[in-house]
Amino acid sequence: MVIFKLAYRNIKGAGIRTWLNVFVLSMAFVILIYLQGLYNGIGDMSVRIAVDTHYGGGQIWSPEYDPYDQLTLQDMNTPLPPALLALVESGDATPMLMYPGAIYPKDLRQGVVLRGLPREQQIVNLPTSRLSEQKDGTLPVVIGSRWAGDLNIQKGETFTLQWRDANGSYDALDAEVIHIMETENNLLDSRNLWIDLSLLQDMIGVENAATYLILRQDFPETQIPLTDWNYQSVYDLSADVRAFVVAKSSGSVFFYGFLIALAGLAIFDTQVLNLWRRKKEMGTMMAMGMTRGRLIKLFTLEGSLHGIMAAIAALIWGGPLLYWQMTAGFKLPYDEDMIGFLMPRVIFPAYTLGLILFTTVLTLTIVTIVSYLPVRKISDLKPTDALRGKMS
Amino acid sequence: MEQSPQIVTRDLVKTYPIADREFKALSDVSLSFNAGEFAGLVGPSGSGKTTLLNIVGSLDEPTSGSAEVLGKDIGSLKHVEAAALRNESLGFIFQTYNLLPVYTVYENVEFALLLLKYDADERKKMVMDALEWVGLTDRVNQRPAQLSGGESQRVAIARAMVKKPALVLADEPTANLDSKNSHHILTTMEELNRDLNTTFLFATHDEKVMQYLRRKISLEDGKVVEDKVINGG
Repeated sequence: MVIFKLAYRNIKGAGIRTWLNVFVLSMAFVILIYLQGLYNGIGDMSVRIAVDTHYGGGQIWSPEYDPYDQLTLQDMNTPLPPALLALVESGDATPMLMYPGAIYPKDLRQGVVLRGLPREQQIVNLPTSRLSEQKDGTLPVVIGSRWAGDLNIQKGETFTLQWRDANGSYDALDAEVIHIMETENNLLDSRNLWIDLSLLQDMIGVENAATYLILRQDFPETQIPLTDWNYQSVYDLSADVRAFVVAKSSGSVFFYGFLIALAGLAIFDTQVLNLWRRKKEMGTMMAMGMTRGRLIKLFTLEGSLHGIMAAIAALIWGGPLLYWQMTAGFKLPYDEDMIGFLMPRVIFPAYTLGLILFTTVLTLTIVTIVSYLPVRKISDLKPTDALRGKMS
Repeated sequence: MEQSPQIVTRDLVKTYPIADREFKALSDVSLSFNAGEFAGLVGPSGSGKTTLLNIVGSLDEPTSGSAEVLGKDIGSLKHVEAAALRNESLGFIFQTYNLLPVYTVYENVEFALLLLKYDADERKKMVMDALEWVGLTDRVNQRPAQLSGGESQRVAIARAMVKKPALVLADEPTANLDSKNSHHILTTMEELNRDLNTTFLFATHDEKVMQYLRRKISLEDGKVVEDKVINGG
């Protein structure tokens, strides 16, 4: 306690130098927590949005489905086995049929993925109910707002849709955009044309066929029937997002290291300076009965206190800033469609207690180490040399 | 009954290596001091005054011979034991005051008591008493940079005396002070010596200090050349 009191007096007395160190260190604190919170936010939100719009409570894939092969999409659907058909009929799952096609808006050809979902489905949060708005002679379709913006297509516009049916024959129809949907899931937006499942099955000429099933959320894993279709849990489906967060977090280690090193360097520098500038002071303290061990503790604690004060300063100025970002979110400075996986438009950082504790402990540990390293020299210090301002 | 001396040195030798030879700072110094003495080690620069004071103050160790202070053999004390001796029983006054610059007057005087783990109320009373002895109760919140030389040295005296040590070692305490302040400081120390029976041992070549000494030990080239009791001491 005495050492703590003396250390506090010393760093308080050091004035502006202390506050500069504390400010730099508190910046490192806030930036570390903010960036990691941002990555956590991306991870959390991406999974939540994906569950809401696409993953549901997991998916059961057709044996032919390979999400990384976009060239043979037409061959990736198979008729649902009776056990899985029963899940659809009981409302526990909804089938999704994916099929390649092309559209010709404003005399341009654009390859698309036709996505068939039952218009009455309630499993995923997509406006499929709009697909019931039947139009004479045209196929009602829904497209995403990002893509609509890119193609400059308005609601009510029509364009030609072309596809090859199950027998390989080309076919075409006029499609009318009956709804432009806003979805947070960018992967379901661009180049995806949403059609009622039964209409798509008729167009292709496949009965009860699907590419995969989407289970309702909280559907028990134990009740999934055993078939040759492959069950993919939400955890399996979100592997890409997790890998992104891990890659980004790991990639940030260099940046974190740089930030902490910068702050640590300031503390180290102060400690080295202290050793040279305050030798006489150390000699005086020794003359008054302070042992070398206590002197080392005192000077190390002085350095470490910068870390504690920085944590408090970070809480004072960084807390409101971090809270504001948590509620207002961070809008990506570039189009999320440029990213090959689900990325929310606005990211809300997620700060966990673990993240805050880890950052605090990590920073305090580093600050303590850089505070201790220079003051080890005190163990060789002779009181008479110190009083003369000489380091032995 | 004859009292046992507080400080006894026998054939004390201190050498320092300088380049490729040894410099003998003290040569066969044998002295003893009783409690309550007001004595001075006098002599020119390099005569060994400060070296002797440092050994007596357990800040340094003898090369050979012995120095016994308050019953403790300085040469055989471990670092921690020497620190404890200084903390509990010795007070130091330096030529350049050596006040801790970021501490206030109060905090400087309180420092030694914090190390001795006195409680807050006791510390406060002792600090204020010590500052009263030196007439600085109105400067408690000032920092050393805001004090004059005389005031700084008075704070240093209060700091040395606050724990009522058995022995105060003062190394050229008036060297940086003018005549008026020197006399003021010396009068204060003389009063404390008389009132508290604290032993004062000076290292000085200042004539002003010599007027106050009751015993004067002259050193030359590390040897005692004269040990004279004066002023009726």
